[in-house]
Amino acid sequence: MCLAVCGRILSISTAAAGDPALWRCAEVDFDGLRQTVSLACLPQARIGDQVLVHVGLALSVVRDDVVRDDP
Amino acid sequence: MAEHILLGHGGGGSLMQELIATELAPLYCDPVQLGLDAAILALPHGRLAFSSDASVVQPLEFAGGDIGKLAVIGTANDLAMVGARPLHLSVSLILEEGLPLALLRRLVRSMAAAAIDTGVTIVAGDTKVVERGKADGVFISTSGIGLLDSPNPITPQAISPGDQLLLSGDLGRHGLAILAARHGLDLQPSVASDCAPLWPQVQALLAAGAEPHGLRDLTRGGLGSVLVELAEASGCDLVLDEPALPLAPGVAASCELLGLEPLHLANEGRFVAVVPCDRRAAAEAVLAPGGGRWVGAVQAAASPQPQVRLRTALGSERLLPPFSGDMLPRIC
Amino acid sequence: MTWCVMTREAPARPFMPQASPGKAVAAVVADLQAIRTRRWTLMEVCGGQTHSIVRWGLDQLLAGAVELVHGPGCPVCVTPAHTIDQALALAMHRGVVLCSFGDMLTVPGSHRGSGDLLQVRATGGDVRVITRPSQALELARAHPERQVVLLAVGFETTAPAIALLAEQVRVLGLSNLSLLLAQARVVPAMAAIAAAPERRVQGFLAAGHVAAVMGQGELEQLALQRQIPVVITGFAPLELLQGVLACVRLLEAGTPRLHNAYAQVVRQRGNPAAQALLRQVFSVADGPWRGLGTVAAGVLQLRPSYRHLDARLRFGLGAGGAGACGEAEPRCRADQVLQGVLRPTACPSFGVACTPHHPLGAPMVSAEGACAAYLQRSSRHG
Repeated sequence: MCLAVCGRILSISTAAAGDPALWRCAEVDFDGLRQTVSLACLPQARIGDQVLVHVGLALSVVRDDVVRDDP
Repeated sequence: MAEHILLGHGGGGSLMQELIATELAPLYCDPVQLGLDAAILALPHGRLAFSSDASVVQPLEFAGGDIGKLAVIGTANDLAMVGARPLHLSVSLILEEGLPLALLRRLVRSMAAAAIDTGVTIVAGDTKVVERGKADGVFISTSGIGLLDSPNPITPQAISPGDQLLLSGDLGRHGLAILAARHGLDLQPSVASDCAPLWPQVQALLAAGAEPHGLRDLTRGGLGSVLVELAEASGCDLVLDEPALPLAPGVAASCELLGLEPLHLANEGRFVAVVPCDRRAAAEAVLAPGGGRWVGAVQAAASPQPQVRLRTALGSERLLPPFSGDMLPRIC
Repeated sequence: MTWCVMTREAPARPFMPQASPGKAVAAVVADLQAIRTRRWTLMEVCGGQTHSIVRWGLDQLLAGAVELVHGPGCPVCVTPAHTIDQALALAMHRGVVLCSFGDMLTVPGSHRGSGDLLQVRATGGDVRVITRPSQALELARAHPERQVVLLAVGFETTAPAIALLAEQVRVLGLSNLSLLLAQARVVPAMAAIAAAPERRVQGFLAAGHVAAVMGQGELEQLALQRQIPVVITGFAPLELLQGVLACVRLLEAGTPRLHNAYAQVVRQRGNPAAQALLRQVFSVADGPWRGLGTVAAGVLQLRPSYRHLDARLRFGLGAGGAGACGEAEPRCRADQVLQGVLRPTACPSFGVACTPHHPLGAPMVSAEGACAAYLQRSSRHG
């Protein structure tokens, strides 16, 4: 139900007018394929972050440093 | 002369004659052919192969090729797939009223160059013009004749359990280039179509004694569709070693992002060869310089319906997903 | 270039080795075999998980140890048939451009012979395949003379993007874009399955991407209230198997709680900005799931300040009630399949009258619907 892919943020931009949060976008690199992705739900995302993207919206910043714990 | 195709250019009158003489003449190496209703050919002795094709690709021009190049090389490759050296082609053009002449000139140049690359001569053709809105710019129909070089028949019925599957190069470039052009995908680095003549590799395979039992070029529907056809025609299961499949750069990522199956992406310069087990090494030596490699084997069918199975990197197996013909991207 | 999309992104992460995927996977399976005392039945809820399981043959690797039952987490499968009928009607409407994700184009409506969106496109309907809602916005802005309708299906992973679109349309004051909404919520359906008296499922593998949005709270409550272990997993094969192992550990220990095995993406709180947007645009309601009937708190609906974007209201289509999930195809047993009580292979129509090219019901349409998934199993592995 949720084909989401990870990509790296290359650059960030906002629309000239209107609510910046609503229109904040990033150029994201998915292993060579580049697409514009909305950052409206990830105000904390920065250039260089790996983000999880579904239907053009970034949903989560991927953390490389998490250590797996077993139940 | 007008800068766009007019209905009159297909009318059989002076406009059409002018179009042929000025714009289409470069297609034909022998200008005498332009004045005849049919080409007169002196053919070498031997069995002939004959094939026909139509090109309706959109967009008309894309990275690595265009509809003209596809048309010429496509038919030549069909002939190569039965082991025939391509000799002569006919080219029928259906032009849409309003097509820019500059575009037509580029396509003609491209077809002429493709003919030289492929070693064929274009000996016959036809030109029609349809009203604006009825032809998507250009449709091209090609037919071709080739001379059989292979002593043994290259038909799916020759395929048997124990035969080996080899690819002539990496997968997905053409399909990805078309997707990128149609949907404005930004690929870094950009991907160009792999449209190319296949006869040189086929000729080398035959000369090396590979004795192929099957040759199929991959075109629409990709490797997946070809293998399904071969399985059904031969009555055998085809088992692919998935980690061995060479995907062109960008294909894996783009297919994942768009939710497409890489094995269904079109190719225009690749083929699969089915060779006897003891000819595998010879075939690999011929195909390796072009990026080709071994990818699987033929087995006796494990069930009444022959299947195409993929052995994953994890040691498990799956069937090839069904492909109806429509590449629909998924979000789920 | 070899094809091994084990982890989906270039940089290696601490617990997903790029090299020797077979070895890493075999190690997890070996651990599983070592700790289990019996065969367990788990349900993976998300169609994306189902797709990965079939694509990598994970159930073959787990054969004998764990049975994986495919759950209803496939929007293609559970979008009410009535909504498909409404989409077909709108697509045939002159002046309407119907935008849809590709997954929905071959889903049959509720009446035999009603066709699907692909067929409507072939007979002149303006149906556009999109991969993100922003494309519907671009279409609406480029064609003010047309009414653009987005068939907005999905779960909570997709809902934030739909909510964002709704807010952008509202802010721009566009009057030519509306939503044919079929947004469903996953956890209520899991709760319904867990509460069913004939339940076979002993543990849940929860959808990692839904959890990335919604966080862990609802799933924690589910685990406690229904006394059933729930493990949040990723979608790569190693991530899924690690999730299975974690779930079996919980089952063997008799501790029915939530465990997050996808911590690199899923935070305890989820995504607060996305949740705020969802609360702003949507409210929760009871609603129909195709094959499951009415699911309490199972769907999202537009709040009053966004109701002018409801395509059903704009075009006078009618809401469709609980009966809207009824099927005219009596041979289809999707309801039992989606609840995990009937194996697709036990359905008499499976692979015979019902195939992906001629589906009787939705689970055979989608690449990750339970029935289509079973069809992709090699016959040697049943």
